[in-house]
Amino acid sequence: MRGGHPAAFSTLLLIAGPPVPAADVSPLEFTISVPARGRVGASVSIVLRLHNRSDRPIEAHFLGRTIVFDIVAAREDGSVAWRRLGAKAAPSILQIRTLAPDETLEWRDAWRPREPGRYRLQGVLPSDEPDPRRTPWVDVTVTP
Amino acid sequence: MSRLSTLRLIVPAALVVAAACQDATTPTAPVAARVTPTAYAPQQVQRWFDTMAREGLALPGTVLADYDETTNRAVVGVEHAAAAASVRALAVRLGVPAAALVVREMEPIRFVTTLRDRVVPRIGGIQIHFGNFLCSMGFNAVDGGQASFVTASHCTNRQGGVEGTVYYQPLQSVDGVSIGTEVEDPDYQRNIAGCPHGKKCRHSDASRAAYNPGITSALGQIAKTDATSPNTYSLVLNGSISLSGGDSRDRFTIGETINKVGRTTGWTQGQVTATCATVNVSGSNVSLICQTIVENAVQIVGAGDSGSPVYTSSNALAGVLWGGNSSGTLLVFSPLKNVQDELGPLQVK
Repeated sequence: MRGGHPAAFSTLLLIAGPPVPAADVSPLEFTISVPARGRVGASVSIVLRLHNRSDRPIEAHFLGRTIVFDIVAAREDGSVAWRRLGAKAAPSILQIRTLAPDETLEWRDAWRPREPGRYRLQGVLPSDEPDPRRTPWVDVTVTP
Repeated sequence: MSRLSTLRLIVPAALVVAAACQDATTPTAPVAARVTPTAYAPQQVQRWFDTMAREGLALPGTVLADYDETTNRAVVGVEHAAAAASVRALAVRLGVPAAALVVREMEPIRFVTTLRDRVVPRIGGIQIHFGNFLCSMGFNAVDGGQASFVTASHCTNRQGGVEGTVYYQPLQSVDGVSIGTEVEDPDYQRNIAGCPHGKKCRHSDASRAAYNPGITSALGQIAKTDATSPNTYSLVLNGSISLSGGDSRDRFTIGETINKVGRTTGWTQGQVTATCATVNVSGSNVSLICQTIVENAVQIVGAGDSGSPVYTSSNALAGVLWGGNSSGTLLVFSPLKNVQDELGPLQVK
């Protein structure tokens, strides 16, 4: 799968605006869009998208009656600065959803960084697979 | 293994061919390395093979038959020496030379059934399906003489309130005959003792469905996987566990080992880290009062495990799993005592 420890992505270029596609050939493309720069105390808007880029319906499995998504913001040393879900308990129900060709599901949230620095952000979609679906990491520089 | 993929392989109809192509048929060393091909014409050996396959697989204790091109021999797999003797006697009777036949003892090949397959009779821990959702069956119960199963309250069309959710097992697309219908799922209420301000509460995330006529279930049985240790995530069904009874506690001991079995992560185990905790359900205005939290360093719950039976080290039914954290290292379950306080007395064994 994609993803991995944030420290492994130290050579990633800063990416602004356009979504970063997953590095596989899955018909479902899971991407994250964030601005390349943010300021301490100001909201950083985050958009996750799951897109069926194939020409056929694709069945996907998700956690939750309302689909549960997670976002992780990690510091350069790999430590987690923010995790959307934290340790919250959510119902472990599995949702089956079929995405039509070219259909896109979208989830939005915002992160308010507390300290300046370079961060890496990743979106996560839990399912019944051993590894959740993950976006690539993207870099965000937070200034004072 | 791969060598067998080139062979003509015949197994009894009741066996799984896919499984036959795996380790059970692999000799301890490549036959071709130590057996010289017979001098018989391959067409002749194939005729003997056809006869042996047709007649031999009708004998008790036979597993498979194949024609091995590399050694030009008919191969018959048997479970035990008695079956081997029967096959050799048959070969004599049919005029098949001993040199053209290999009789090999091997493990019998069985259907591989998982927690996500159709399982009859129905037992706790197997996959159930309703609407666009999958959950796990909790446990079988008799309520006022009615054969039923318990699962999570949120594993119904609407959490709280009875709307007659129809269940299939494992999927409607696999078996279109529904197994049961929701008959009990008490409403969540505000302003009950222990309920946080602004929340709707219950003491258990549990509902009950009545089995439909003709659906068989095994009271007191929950799925047992082939795992020999917990947290290996095998989903292969290997019989069932007999519950020793119901655990009447609503407060479990911190550090106590607790098990669960469910359709996503199979048999998992962790230790109680909180007991009788009020838990807010993420993404809702629901709180559950007096719940038990179990944790481990590894994943012990996943999407689809909702409703799973939770049980103690002595196989006493402890409750119903309903949730977990995003990494799956923490699960929350409603104690059986709370379930019975809300659904009424249940015979679980």
